[in-house]
Amino acid sequence: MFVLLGVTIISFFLSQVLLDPLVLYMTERTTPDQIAAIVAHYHLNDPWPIRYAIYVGNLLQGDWGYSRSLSQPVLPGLAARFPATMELTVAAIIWTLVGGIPFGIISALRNNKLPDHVTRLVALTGVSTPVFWLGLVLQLVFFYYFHLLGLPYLPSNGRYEATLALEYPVVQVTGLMVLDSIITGNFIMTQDLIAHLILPSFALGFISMGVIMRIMRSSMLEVLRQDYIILARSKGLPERVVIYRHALKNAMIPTVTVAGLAVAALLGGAPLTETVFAWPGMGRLAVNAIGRNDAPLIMGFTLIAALVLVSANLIVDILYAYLDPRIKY
Amino acid sequence: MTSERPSSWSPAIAELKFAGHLLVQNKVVLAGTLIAAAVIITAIVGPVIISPDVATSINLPIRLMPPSSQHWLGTDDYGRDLFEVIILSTRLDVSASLTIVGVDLVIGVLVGAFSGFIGGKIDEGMMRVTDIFLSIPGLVLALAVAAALGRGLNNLILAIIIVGWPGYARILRGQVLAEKERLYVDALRALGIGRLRVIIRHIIPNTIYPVLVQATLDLGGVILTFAGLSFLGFGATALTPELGRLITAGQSYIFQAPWLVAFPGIAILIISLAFNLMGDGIRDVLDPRLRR
Amino acid sequence: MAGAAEVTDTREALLQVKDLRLNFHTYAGEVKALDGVTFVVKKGEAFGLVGESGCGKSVTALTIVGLLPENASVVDGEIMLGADNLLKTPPEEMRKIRANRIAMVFQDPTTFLNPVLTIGEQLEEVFLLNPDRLARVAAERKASEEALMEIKAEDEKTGTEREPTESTRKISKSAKKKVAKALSIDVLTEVRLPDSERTLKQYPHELSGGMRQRCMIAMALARNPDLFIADEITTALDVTIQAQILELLRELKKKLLGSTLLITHDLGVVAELCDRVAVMYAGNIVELATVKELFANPLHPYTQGLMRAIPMIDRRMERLETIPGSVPDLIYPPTGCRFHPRCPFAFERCKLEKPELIHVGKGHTVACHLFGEGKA
Repeated sequence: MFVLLGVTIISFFLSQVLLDPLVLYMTERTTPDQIAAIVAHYHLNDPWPIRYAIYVGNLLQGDWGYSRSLSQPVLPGLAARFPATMELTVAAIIWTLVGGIPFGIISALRNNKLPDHVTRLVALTGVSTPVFWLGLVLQLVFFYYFHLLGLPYLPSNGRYEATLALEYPVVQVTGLMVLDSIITGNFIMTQDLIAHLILPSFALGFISMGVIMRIMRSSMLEVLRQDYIILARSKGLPERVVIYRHALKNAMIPTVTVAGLAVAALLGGAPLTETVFAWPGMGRLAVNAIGRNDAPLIMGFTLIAALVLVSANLIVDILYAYLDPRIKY
Repeated sequence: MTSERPSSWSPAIAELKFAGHLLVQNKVVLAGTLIAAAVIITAIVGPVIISPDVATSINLPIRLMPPSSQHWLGTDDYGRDLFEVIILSTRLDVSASLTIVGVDLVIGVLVGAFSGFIGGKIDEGMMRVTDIFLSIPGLVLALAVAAALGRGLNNLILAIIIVGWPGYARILRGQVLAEKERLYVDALRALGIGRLRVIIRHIIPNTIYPVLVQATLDLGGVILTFAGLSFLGFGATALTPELGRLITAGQSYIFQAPWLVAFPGIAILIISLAFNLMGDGIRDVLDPRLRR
Repeated sequence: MAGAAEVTDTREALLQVKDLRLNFHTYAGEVKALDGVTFVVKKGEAFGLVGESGCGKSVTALTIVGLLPENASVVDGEIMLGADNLLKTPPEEMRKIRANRIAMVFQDPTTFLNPVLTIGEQLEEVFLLNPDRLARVAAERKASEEALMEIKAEDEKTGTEREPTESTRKISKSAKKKVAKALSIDVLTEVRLPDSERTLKQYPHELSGGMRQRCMIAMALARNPDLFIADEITTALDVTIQAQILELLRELKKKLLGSTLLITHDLGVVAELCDRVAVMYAGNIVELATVKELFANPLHPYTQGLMRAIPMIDRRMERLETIPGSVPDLIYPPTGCRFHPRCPFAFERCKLEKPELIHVGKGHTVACHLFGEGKA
């Protein structure tokens, strides 16, 4: 938790120390008297520690500042778009794991043969591809060209068709609209939502897929060299059992650790992906905020991203303890 | 008498054979290293062969033309030959990436080495600091810092540098912690050699391998971050030849002139791929050594 | 007359290794690890394979069970288990053989047990490999339970007599698991682990080295093997635990109907447990005899060197004796007899010609030019 505090220090430093917050509260027409009043009200001339204390106090109370690009307070603005980003990120994680883990295993089992080379090439391409470019290319191919060729195409923008949503409004349950539409039986929207989700989540997930593929492969190879695998084989266990019961659980341990890093990459890629696909999430908000010099919003986004990452790492730690009985908390 | 008396060179030859086998066996890695070299050469030589003025020479009548024999990759919306602009951009992207990783390496190694060696409260404090940095997703933090520092190329590079050093500090510190327990360190200190000298002349050279490996691997990633943030509008201005920027400009014409988006992206991919391959190769070769 | 070793004993042979040659491919060259290994393990006997580290004894064992690493290749020879040549057996058949007929226990119980599975899981899976046996045992237990119930029923009322149900193959999965668990508890008790039921739920890292080793032995016992191979199973343990494990093996030897192949570098272990023993050096068997005969009358210079090197409590010794020189490089092995560079009795023929195993009486064979024809 100290870490989060540290994050607030960074955000405080960036938004209050490096930038002049006064800029946020005034325009060309503000009179000197008004300026003085602003300074007094917001304690802008107080020593740093006090200003920091006020800053943190405000944060904890839910006052994350006012966003001039949204014309509303920061926290509600971000919170409204939080589910969209989460939906995108979770979908990306699903791509990453479903693509990465099985191919990593296959790659290890057919070591140095064709599937291995292909997988390694794909993985390598994955980590070398700029995510925003991939998004654009996917749009070009699956939206534009498919459309031109008369093939069924995938939508390239937004989260859902606005007109469709008006007819079949989705009731908010979790905020994850795909889930909500399923729960409430609104299957028409479900189809539309998923169609909109496919391209952006794949673009985002593809990068990390490569990372997971590689770590799964290398840890699987490492495990298969271990002595206990020899014992397992010597018991006459079928090879399938040796791999899936004995080897896999051990091989997952480093992979899970790396998955935590992958989440960081996904969160970092979110602003780019959301911008390219016009996805109504926090990342796009932050990017727009840059153009308008809306520091509080950017810092708010940073804080939330850090929170999510820390939580994800906590989950990773728990998974790790579950997989490896040698770890005790 | 033995059947063939081996020369005293054979262990060394066996090692070399092994290392060589690793490198060549991985023809892909070899290819990557060669491409990386080609990229760097292009970056250096490009702006010499193709005049930098090309970047600013606006020629509206021939804008947005598809690839042809006069303009191999087509022209952009300012009428510039895309191929030439891409070649020019490599200098900026490659040099920025190298700078960022280089500076991060130096900072990270120094901080990690001193922190790990001296230990105690300083070490703890430093680790908390790196923890904080590492708990924010890289690109997000770079975004925030760049936003705070203001637009401009140098600020962008600075922002990415600030975000990147904690990773290396951590790795190196881990190595140093193990290294400083070794006997020769005590011997050196007993001889009266100051801590500074011990760290710089002995500890760092012995522990630096994993960090070097990581750095070469990171080169591929840093260029993606740099291009990504440029794409969002940081760093380069509209006419500056930079690959991310080119894609931003191309975005508006993505359906009419897809080459504007496709080719700069492929260029980024190639550069990143080459660095990644090279990094993989270096890691494969150094790794068996690391295990000793 | 001089030639291959003869089986003079009337007991049947269980395992016959004939002229086994094996190489490892490495970047430094071809390692000629096994250079014509020949021996026989008879049914019901405890056979020891002794030698220094690197002489090829573990490799021989791995070859028998078919678990060699990828860069190994058998160049020549046969391994006959009963009527089957194990070297020519297809992998699936080999797997069944490992599941039912040959069981191996390895040196280091720390690295050879899977850290993320409980002892129970690792033990029960051995039993679950043999569903017929499970069904049989389940039926037996059911039969005895039902017999008990019958008696109770008869006590209460004079009811009709019920036939014990036949063992069927359709025993449910949970029944199988129960039987496997019961059998696991039994076998853990056999290896003298206190509180077997609790041990089933524990992970390897929660047990001591000696206990882990017993678990590995239990996994071998579970299969009721014809051949039980123990590869340096006491080497990684400290001396007191070693003694306990040896004691255990001695007890089990009486119960085990099959044969034991005991691999070790420790002549003491051989003396305690084995009936017959073979001495290996640099990929060759150099001497083979009954234990009594070998200790009373070691013939091969290497064996003599080994014996001399053992510190004896009841004798005064000023220095520990060693065999001069070191183990040869098997990529460029010595010509002729591989021991000749270190042998105090070597002569010209030793450098030129590799000695064959010659029978010198009383089931004692030796591979040395000092014996048989052509003595120096």
